[in-house]
Amino acid sequence: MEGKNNEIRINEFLKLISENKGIIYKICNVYSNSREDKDDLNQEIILQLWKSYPNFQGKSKFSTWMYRIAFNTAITNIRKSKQHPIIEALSGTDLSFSEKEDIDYLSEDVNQLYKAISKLKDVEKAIIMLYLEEKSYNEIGKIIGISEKNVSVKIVRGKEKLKKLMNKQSSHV
Amino acid sequence: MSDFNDIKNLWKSADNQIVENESLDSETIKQAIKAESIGITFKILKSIRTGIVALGLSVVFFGYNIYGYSGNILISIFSISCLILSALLLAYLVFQYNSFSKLDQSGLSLQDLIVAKIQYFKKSLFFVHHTIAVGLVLLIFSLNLLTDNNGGNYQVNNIWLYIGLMITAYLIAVMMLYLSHKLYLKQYRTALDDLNKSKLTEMDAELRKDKWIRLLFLAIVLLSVIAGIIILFLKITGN
Repeated sequence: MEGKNNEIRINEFLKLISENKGIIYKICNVYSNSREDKDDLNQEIILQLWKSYPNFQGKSKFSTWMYRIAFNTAITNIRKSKQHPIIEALSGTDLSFSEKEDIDYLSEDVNQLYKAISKLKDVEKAIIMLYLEEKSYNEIGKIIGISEKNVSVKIVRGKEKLKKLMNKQSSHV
Repeated sequence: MSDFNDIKNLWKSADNQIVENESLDSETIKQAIKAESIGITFKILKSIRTGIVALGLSVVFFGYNIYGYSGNILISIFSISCLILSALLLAYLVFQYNSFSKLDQSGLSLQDLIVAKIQYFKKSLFFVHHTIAVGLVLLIFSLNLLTDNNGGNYQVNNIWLYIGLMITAYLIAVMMLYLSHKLYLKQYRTALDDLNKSKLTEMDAELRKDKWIRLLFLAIVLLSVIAGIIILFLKITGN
């Protein structure tokens, strides 16, 4: 009986994840610099979603809950590129710094946009991404855990920063 | 790209490209579910597991020492005390392991999760580091007792060198653990600073209040290690 329930739960989870796979890939694209990092983060997000799934009570939309877990995983976890914490702590250097690689199937303009977003701070990336996804300030606040007022302030700043970065990049091309 | 609507349109145009080009089939999801975590939480849990193994082995070795030194009341009492201490610390680490592994699955908002993690780092992780280090010292000590069992007697030739080595082992373990986790704390603090500076200031003030508890704990641990070994040495040598 328990095995059957578990199978139902897995199938339900697989269906929901497949339907919302765009969320995972967009977050992975924004928070990773290379294909390898992206695959690791993708795997980590799915794993965390699966582990958290029993706590999902349906009080919010599945996509809201999914954004929350996925952003939490992306921001509060260091990927493979930061596997030398002792050296970094001793030297005070960040060894993970690297230029974001282009994603082969995306157009040049979109790659430029991803590169610009990747230059924002981790939390700014999340807020701007949710804004571009046309989420309401209320929903962004619920996902990130800050007030609507704080969301609006951060969006204004993030938009300005992103516009500058995009202009700077296009002037270099 | 002067208008932000152009950026919005560009972002939307990527949606179809992503959905068409990225495949996420059931098999890939199942593989990911089976895979091990690679994040910070996993690395901290790995350190805690090391402590659990060290303390688990200490319990076994001290148990064996109670049997091996059954004719020596002093060492037996000492071993029983260390066994109880190891078991208590083991229970504490198991509890911490469960609490920390559940943080990521709590479904908290980003800000609340970062606050919870920083609080864990500043409060519990301090004690976890020291518990793991004490676990390693207890393991070394139980192994010494086990290997140097001379017909139910135990001899310490140079007490100060012995105490020095134990404290050095303890401090090295604490330092290694602290350095390997320090970067994560820095990362969380930056994230919280970006999110809510007043929350960070508020939390810092709260955490500063508990600083003396951590210092007191450290002093008690170090004094216990020194005193325990000296008492044992004095009793063994009969001074």
